[in-house]
Amino acid sequence: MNQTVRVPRRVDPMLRLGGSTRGMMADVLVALTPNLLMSVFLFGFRVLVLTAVSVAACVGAEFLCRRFMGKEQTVGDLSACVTGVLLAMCLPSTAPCWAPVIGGVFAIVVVKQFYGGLGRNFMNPALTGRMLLCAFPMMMTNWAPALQGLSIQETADAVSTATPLSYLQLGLLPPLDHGQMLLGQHGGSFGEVSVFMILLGGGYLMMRRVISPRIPLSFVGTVALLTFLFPAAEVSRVDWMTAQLCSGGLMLGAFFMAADCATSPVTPRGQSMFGAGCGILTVLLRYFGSYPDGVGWAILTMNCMVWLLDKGGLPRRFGTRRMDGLRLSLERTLGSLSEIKLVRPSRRREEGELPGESIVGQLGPWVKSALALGGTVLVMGMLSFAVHRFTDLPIAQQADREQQALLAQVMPQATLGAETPYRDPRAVSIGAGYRETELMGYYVEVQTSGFGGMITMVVGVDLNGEVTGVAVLDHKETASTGARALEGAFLDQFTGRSGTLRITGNGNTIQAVSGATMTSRAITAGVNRALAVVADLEMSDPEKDDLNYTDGEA
Amino acid sequence: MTSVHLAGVAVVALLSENFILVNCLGIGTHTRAFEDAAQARRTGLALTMGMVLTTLLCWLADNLVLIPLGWTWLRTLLFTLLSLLSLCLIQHGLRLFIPELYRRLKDILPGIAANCAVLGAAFLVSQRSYTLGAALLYALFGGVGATVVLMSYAGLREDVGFDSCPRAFRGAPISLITAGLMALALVGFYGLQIA
Repeated sequence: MNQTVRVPRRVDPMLRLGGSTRGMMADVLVALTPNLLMSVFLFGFRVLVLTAVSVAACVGAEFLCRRFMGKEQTVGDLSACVTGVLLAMCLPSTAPCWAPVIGGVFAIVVVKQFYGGLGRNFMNPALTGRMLLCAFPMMMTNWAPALQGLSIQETADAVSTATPLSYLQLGLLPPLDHGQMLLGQHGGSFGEVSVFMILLGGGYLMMRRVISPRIPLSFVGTVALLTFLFPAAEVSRVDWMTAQLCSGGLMLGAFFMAADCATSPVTPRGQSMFGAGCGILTVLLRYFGSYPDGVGWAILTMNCMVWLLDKGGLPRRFGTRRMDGLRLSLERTLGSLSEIKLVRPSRRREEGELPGESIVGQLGPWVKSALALGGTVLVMGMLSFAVHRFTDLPIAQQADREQQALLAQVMPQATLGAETPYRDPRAVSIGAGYRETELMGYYVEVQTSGFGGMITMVVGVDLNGEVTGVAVLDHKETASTGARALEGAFLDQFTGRSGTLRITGNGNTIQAVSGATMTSRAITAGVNRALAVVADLEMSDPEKDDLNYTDGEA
Repeated sequence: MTSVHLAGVAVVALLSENFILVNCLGIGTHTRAFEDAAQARRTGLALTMGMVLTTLLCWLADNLVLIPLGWTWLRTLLFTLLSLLSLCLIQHGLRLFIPELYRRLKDILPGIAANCAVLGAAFLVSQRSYTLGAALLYALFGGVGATVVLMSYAGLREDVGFDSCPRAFRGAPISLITAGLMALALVGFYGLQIA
């Protein structure tokens, strides 16, 4: 490379005397200890095994990586230990032992060392490792209940429980009192349940000035404000807000992940905006997203935008007044923008020139290129038209065949499907199935939101309000897990059902596919909607009305 | 179309179907945009203008001409031509009316011609049969999302520098890894649905 090496402008935010980084990391480990002890109390000694494996993997990865890259060893500054502990804390206690190894190696090697080690990474390593492990959804969402005394070897056989977040995602309050929520007596990742211990640790860190209070407070404050302003239906605001604040990885994320100095803005205003942005994205994901907990994704997304926030934070030099930085930058931007102004196009002519003479010379090439473009467009258009004429009939025939196959799957007793002019805002289209001019039922096309996107499905309903069949036309579910709920075995359950179907609860239930709860729920919601549409349709069926029409009109 | 639905379309275009990180469109617009933050900002601005104008023209063509006459087989060709037309309009319009902006965007604008993000916006909007308001919002926020990603990436590159990795990873591999890490952050937004 001939160019001079560009010195990156980012100075390690932890640029102090070498020993102090170690001191800071030791402080973080001390702050995490009460949380760790509480999780051992709640979930058993398997927690310690997982943490030990994770720390060993991270420290080993850092040692080997620095060795192979020929750089000095940085294992002594304990940052890999902290990454290991934090990564382990994000896992459920039933996670297999190889999970923190994969996450830890990825976090240390790719996210941290490839960018230059401590202070130079742009995304939080522990969080990125955890999010990578979301590629194994079955392992990562097996939550053991608290105080069940898990043995060290027990893994996926443990009874899975619902976490507070799964209640919140349905719009219900979790059945826990404040004490249980604070101390962590419920399911979840073993490091995030014990809010009280996390707050103790966070307070310790703020007192020792390891983290600045701005980010955690703005993060938690924004979440509190938004959940207070927009609670779920029929739930008291304060209860909803407290439940949202105490469940999921919010506290752990706010105090230990978002406040990490290497991956957050340096300027005070930037830090407040970072915290607020994390809060907004967390609430957005928790209310409308597919994953139950949005904290990790929100922090990672804001990590990518740290540079923008630092620019927006407008650092202030010593000796200037508070708004000077802002004013200077505004002046510069406005000055730059004011050069951009509307100009009246001038149409001056040279002396003694006929109108239009200046463009006559360019006219020739223009016309040539226009002709070339026009010719190409014409040829292409005719080619498209020819292909269209050639393939129009086979396309229509294929569509008809697919329609017949769909009808056979959705309403086996009908032989002919036809569109109807009925429209319902809840359905994409309503069709009618006939067998030799006798109306057998209706097939309704609905769209529901599944895990990865919209699911388009067709539900056949006969005239008694029972489902005759379900077919899925389009979906974006994950191939191995969610798509299992779209196969015949699950869809056959719906045949012959009527009324309002439920996944859980008493009466009229559907057996959901384990590991594909959201997809099963979406399909059930779609079937319910189709049943409702047909029920309303029958009420206003003009054919039925004609039978009772007593007026004298023929 | 209710405002909730429009808000949903905007959020989807910005986050869960971000044009650069999720749809992977518009990456080749201007390679300098990935190295310099000012260039990234300008490329984003040019992309947004191109996307909005092209989506407008294509939506009008689709709903006023192609669908009523049943000429949907002409769609690909017509949309490509309309994107070239919109580039022409933007270039000449800027040169006549806002010359300073034209001067700054002069090298970036040719990258908008038949750009995959621009055409992608037009085709996605046509496939999903959005209304005019939703279509324009989708294009606008798609452009904004692309701008934010480009600026973040360029700022990251200036700030952190990609030179500390093993020699085998220098250049394209570490750039792709970085883009992959940024895309990993957006995985949580897949399937985001407001109402």
